[in-house]
Amino acid sequence: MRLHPKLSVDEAQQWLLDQATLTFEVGRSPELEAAVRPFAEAMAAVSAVELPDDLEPQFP
Amino acid sequence: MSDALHELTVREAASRIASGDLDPVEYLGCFLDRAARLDGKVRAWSNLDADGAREQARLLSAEAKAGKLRGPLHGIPFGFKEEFAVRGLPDRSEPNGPEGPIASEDAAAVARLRAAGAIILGKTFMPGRTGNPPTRNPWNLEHTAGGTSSGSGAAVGARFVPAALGEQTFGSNLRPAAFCGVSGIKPTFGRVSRKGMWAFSYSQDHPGVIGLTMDDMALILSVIAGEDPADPTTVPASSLPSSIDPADVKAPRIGLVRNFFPELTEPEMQAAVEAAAGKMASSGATVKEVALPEQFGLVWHTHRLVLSSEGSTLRAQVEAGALASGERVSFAPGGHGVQRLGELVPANYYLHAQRIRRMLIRQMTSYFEENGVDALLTAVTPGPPPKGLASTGDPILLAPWSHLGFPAIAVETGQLTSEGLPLAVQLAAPPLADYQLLCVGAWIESAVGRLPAPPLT
Repeated sequence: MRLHPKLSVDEAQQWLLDQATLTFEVGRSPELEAAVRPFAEAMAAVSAVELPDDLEPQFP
Repeated sequence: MSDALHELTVREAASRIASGDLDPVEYLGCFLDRAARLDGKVRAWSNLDADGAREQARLLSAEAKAGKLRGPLHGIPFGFKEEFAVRGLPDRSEPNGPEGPIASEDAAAVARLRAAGAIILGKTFMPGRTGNPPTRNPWNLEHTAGGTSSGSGAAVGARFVPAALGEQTFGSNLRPAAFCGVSGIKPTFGRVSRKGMWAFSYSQDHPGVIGLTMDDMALILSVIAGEDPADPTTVPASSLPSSIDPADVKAPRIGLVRNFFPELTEPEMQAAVEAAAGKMASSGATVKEVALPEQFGLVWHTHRLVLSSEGSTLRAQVEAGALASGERVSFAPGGHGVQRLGELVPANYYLHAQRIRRMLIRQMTSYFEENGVDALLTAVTPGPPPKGLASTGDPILLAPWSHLGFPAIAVETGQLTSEGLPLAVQLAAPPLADYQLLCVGAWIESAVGRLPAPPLT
């Protein structure tokens, strides 16, 4: 999924639901939508953050 | 010094054993007796190795009488969260798997304690694991004892053992310590080797200590901390002092956090934080209100993405097996499918979250000095220990320090709810300031006092 330009929560939610139905071979349900919502919010939040190119990922 | 053996601190008991004033067999017997009388109610021990512990105690007793002490913990019984491998006890390599073979070697932290003279008393329950009963809070049996380290928290809280090891990936070492009326430390990530422990998140699993005092935790941490070639995440930091020097216990500079955390905290708990801050200030601490950087709010999002990605990677084989066995994928809260959502997080989002994490670590490492504070003060959990045993409480206030790897402690405030449950606070410090943070905690102990053993009969 793209990082830039930033995602909206709804875009992320839609993408996650599409992936979930393919990955887990399940239909959409209110439970699934509620479960992926925090992930959609997290993806939207981090995609909005612009970082300097030389900032490396944190690995222990 | 307390006369009741179960109320002795580790330091007091070790000193008495070293001087010949206390026999390890007698000391162990006190805990075995309490467990026999009371653990049917609390359910802290999943595998109490009474026979093995007696045998260890007899050997250590003979050695002490011969003037030989193995180390600073000679004759001190310890409990271990189930995820630690303990030589001679059944091991389970993942949370919901069947009981596996007898472990042939100790986890690194267990081995270090054993070498220092500790008695390995047994393993403590991880509630939520298949077949495990929920552990009850020794202060009120109708309430939870906390997160997945709740067996360790309850074992120390009920004085079934003077100290125990737990583990925190989200919020599961400090929460049970807080809920059970004792103290806990989640050290800096990398201070303590994870070798021989069940893994949930490569970059966020922290072995931790639950104990009665800050000085006890300093002693225990000095034994178990250190670089380990078997765990590449351990840091080559200098060793930790084995005791808290009274000269280092000075009135601290406390930053009372005014954003993010209070918004997630219930009024009763926030009132306890305010009361504790007031007590600290009236006892001589400098308490200043502080606001964390605006970007700190990202920490909960990055924690979620990293935790779920790493967790689903570690659990891929288990999850595939569950799926092959025809287990239904449920996305209800706590359902099997929720554990698998990390499989959906794209790699570029995991990496971007890790880049933000580095930025936050940098920001927050300098934050303390820039704001003139030794530690940041918040609640441990949004509310008191919840009633009922279905939930172990909310780890959300503990996640930031688990994610950033900063040391954090739980310290009792001396306050109890109307239902007799302890109310604790959380303090966090910069990376590798574990000893300094324990000194802050020791000062608070002296200002606020410690809770006694719960009225458990």
